[in-house]
Amino acid sequence: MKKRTFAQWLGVWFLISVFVSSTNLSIRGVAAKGKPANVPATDPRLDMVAALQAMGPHPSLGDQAKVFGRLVGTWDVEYTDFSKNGKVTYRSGKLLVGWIMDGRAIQDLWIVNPSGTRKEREVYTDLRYFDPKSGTWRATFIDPENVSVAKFTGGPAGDDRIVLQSPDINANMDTRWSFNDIRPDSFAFRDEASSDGGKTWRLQSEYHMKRRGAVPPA
Amino acid sequence: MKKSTFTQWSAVWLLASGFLWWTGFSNRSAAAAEKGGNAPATDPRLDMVTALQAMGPHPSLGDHAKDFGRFVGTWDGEYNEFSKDGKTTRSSGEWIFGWVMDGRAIQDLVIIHPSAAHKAGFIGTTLRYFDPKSGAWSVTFIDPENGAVETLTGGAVGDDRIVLLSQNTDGKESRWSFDDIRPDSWTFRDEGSGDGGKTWRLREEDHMKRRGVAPPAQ
Repeated sequence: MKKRTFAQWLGVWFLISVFVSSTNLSIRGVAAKGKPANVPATDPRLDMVAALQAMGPHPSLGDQAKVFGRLVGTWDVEYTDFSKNGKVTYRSGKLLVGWIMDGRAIQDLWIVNPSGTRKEREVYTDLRYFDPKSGTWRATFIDPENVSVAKFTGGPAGDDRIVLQSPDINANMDTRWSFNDIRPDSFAFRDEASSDGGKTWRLQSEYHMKRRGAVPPA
Repeated sequence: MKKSTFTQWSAVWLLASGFLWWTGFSNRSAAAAEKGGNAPATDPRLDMVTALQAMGPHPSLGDHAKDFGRFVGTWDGEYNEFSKDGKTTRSSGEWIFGWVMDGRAIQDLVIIHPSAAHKAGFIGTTLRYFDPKSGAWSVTFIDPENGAVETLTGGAVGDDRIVLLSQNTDGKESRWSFDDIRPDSWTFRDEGSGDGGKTWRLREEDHMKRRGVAPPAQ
């Protein structure tokens, strides 16, 4: 009888041990699945973004870092486009901003959710860096789908505004991109065009951004 | 006696169970530590790169995806720069490629490690995207530290070579070629021309060796 009790206890402990270790394994499996973006860094397809990312600006940027640095994180976007014939188009999406290249540049990604007949989202990117020689910010806008590149130059205008200009979008027009009313959790982006050398500007688009989640450390 | 044997066995099983628990925990934290560059996805500073990365090309690229797709991953580079006065500067570094923007573009990062010749080292990035209308690749190179942005166009020449030309209109042209492309090695050449492409001077020759295994076919 005693022997039998012993064998029973042995069996119970064995079952508990197996259960405990399988629970651990399945918890680990769930944790891994919960992070689709964080596939192990050993996958060579993720090497580039792992090396690209930076957690903050390069020290050489000094006070200039905050000009675009305050936009780091994720923003929900309401896109409003005004066509010349008065038609207004509303779309939604996201803007993501992060330091890259040892903090020497800041890259952003604009995402427009599918709407109308389009089934796929649109994606655009900008790389921005400070040029100490000219004391200005340079930005390169890249739209791979439409094979379009435009170079912008500009900088802050007061504490809550950034203005960039480019001659590259359209041969006969100047383009002005501005980040307005910049607050920790909101700002408005405007895209304007001038065909008279900057005397008058037509508002082409206005985007309203609301921060998603917490503001990252300064 | 029997009772004490039972107690002993119970203690052994208890210890074994405890050990299994502990192993499970420590394995999990080791897995998290291994991810180094991939801090938790909830850190807003990493949102941009997480959204930027793509695991492969967009289907619209078709067979052209492999032109640059075969470079995805990390390459160790031996860089040789040839100055006009015949001096050669040797340095080492990395060249890392990855698909971005839903696979519509491929971004790379060139890193030159600090050395006597390059005290601060070097970091540059290039975005590459295919234009189905012209059947050519466009690439935009951005060097934030030196405030340089350059766009070149071109494509595959045969199976093991890619040639890109700058579009400068001032008679000064750049030619970038990816030569002798093998699964684990290739050579990059940067040449300049001051006579509209009649003669070329070799400015840089870099030898690349793949680090780790090639990713699944792109």
